[in-house]
Amino acid sequence: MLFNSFEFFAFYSTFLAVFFVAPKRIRPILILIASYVFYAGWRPSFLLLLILTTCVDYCTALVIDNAKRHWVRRTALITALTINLGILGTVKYLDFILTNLIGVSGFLGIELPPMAVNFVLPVGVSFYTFQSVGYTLDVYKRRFPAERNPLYYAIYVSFFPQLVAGPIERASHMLAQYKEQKPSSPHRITSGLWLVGWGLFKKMCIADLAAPFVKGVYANPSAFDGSYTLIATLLFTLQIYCDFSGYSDIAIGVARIMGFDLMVNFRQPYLATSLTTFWRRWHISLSTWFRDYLYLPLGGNRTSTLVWTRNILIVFAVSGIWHGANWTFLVWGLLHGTALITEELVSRRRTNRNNVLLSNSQLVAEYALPAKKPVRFILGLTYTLSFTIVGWVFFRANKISDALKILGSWTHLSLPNYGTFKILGLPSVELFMLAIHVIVLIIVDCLLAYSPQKLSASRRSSFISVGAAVVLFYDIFLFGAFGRTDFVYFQF
Amino acid sequence: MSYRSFGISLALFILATTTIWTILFSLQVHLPYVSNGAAVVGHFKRSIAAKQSDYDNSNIRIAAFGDSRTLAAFNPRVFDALFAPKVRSYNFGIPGDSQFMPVLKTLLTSGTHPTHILLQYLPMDPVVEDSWRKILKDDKLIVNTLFPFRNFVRDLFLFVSESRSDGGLLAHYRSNRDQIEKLEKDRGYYFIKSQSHYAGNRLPDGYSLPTDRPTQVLERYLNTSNNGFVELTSLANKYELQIFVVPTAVRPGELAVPPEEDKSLSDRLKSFPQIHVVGPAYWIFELKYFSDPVHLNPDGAAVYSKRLADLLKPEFGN
Repeated sequence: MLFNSFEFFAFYSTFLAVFFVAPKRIRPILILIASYVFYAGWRPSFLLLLILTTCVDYCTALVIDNAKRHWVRRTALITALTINLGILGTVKYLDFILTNLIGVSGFLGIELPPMAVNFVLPVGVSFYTFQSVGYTLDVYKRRFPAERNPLYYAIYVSFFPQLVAGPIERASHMLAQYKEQKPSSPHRITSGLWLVGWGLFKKMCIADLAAPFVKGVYANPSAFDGSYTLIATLLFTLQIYCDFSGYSDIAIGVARIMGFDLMVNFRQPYLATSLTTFWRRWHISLSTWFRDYLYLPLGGNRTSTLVWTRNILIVFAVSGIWHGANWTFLVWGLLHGTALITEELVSRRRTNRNNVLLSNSQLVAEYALPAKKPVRFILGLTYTLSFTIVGWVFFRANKISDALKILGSWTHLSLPNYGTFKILGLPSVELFMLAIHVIVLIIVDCLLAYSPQKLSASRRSSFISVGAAVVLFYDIFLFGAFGRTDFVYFQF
Repeated sequence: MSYRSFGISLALFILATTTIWTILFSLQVHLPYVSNGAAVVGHFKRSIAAKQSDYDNSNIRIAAFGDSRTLAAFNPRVFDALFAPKVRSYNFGIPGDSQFMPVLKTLLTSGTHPTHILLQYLPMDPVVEDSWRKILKDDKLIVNTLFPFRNFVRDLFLFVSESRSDGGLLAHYRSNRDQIEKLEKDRGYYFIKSQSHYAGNRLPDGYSLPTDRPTQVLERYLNTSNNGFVELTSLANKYELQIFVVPTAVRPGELAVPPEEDKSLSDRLKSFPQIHVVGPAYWIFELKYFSDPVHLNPDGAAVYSKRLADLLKPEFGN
């Protein structure tokens, strides 16, 4: 059930109607039922895996919390990690490992028969596994007591707005909200609706309009010259941001209407002036997850430069491979890790190294537009964006050789032909509307980053607010792409 | 924000959206020729199929189905002239629509039905059974039902931009209307002028696209268990139709040169005696016959229709 479908609209409207009239004490049960129905919509068998993950972490966390002996706690933790990561590893990486094993054996002269298992990757498995593992680790580190009520814990793992593509939440942030259940208010409903609308706009009016062209070119990059591969990569840069941040906005909005606050997942990352700040603004819930559960346990920055370098590379390699079972993701992660290390070493900001993966609350001050240093700002923006775009080539390409071909093709640029745009799904009206939508996106993102008070002030006027809502409504319904296109991050 | 101001904002929103909906709907109804050629052609052909006014009592009544390639390639006037007076044909090609079964069914149940069917391709999409669960999953259907003017607004953009080179808004509107009237006279054949951007409606020499596959022979789609195909064969039996799968025209280099006979498709259709595969999967036409990367210009259509007539001569006689 996709957020950008009428099926979800019908599901969510029905759910809200029941949820708002139901007594407070049965609302958690309703949320859990709705979450399971939502997830089973993809494939009912996936639900078994979700329930298994929930049971494993609920039980092992209780054992960890209650145990007095260290070895019991440790055994329970290892059991939980083995099961969770074992499931994730099997369904997501087994074929990749087998394929590479066959390749290496062939290279060594040992012929192995094809051994593909072809598991269907359960949607959102990487997200809810990480959320559940994070909780178990928090309980083990005694940062958070184990949840006694299985209902609340089950909701924490399966809460439908963020179940399939995050934000990857923390138990400390969500469990209290499920228990407290703040009443919704007109303000929360309005701001939730705005987020949903803005998320749909990004997904349907930008990401999905750009998607066919990107798909067409990246499916066979050798057939296209540099202009097309460059345009496709620029469009993918927009697509991946609008698709994923759009999903996050809708998730946050949907939860907010119900009375729950999810963490912010994106803060205008393409306005970052360094890779360090880019990673504080891109997929924040995953970055902070890796910071808390991998980077800091490895020693963070409180070690020698060599170990710190190793730590960063490990985090980015794991982050890369988390996105998918393909060498391209690993290269993408390592590319960013290496650049981040270089950037940090060059800028000699060793004292702030721990801030490479910052907390949300520390981000706000970073938005001040550096009016006094505009050249530095523009150079920083250009460098970060250019590097990010190059990184996306590896992220999107099917093979490393394709990525290298694409990068190589940029040395020969020719004038693109309109016919190709048309054949690849971007005829004139779509192209024109895409351009308009991107301009709107840039303006809104700049306002959100540098002058959020202006946006808030405009929303206080009923006429401006309603006018903008009507324009957004018709823009989505008249120019948005309909037809059940998945969110890019569902595959992860 | 209080409940009162929330209520006022909501009321204003509903009022504004309803007003805009009404305006756009009225514009669409009253300005049919603003819609793009594909929409107008599709609408016109569906209504022709329902009215069933074009077939007389000729011995051989032909309906040609396909997408915009067929629309711009098969000229019934040229084709029929070569078999006069016993053949009467009609071009039912509809741009961007691979589902020809609904039009065929309407045609068969509306009076004098065709005796022969020319197909660019066999049914690709399964016939969709309407059930509320399926409808709920069909976002395109829902959005187009809720906002029937959805394409009209897109077309309005194109209409305004194209009108500049066509003597203004009014002149462009009249020109669109005239084209549809011509389509009626030409029995469904339509030259897609709006997509022709080259001098003399001809592609320049050496024209190619990165999406071309000059080494690939395109195999035509066939799924005999597809319920669209099953329905087609059952209609063929019921109405004693003879179905011919005919070649289309592609540019040089767009695809590799196919074998002269599409043996592969014929072999797979051996057990369906009412379906005949004639000629290759496609013909390679010179660039001068194309007005855009996909569609033939009027000269190309004339050549195509003659070649098709030659191909079908053994079936229809001289």
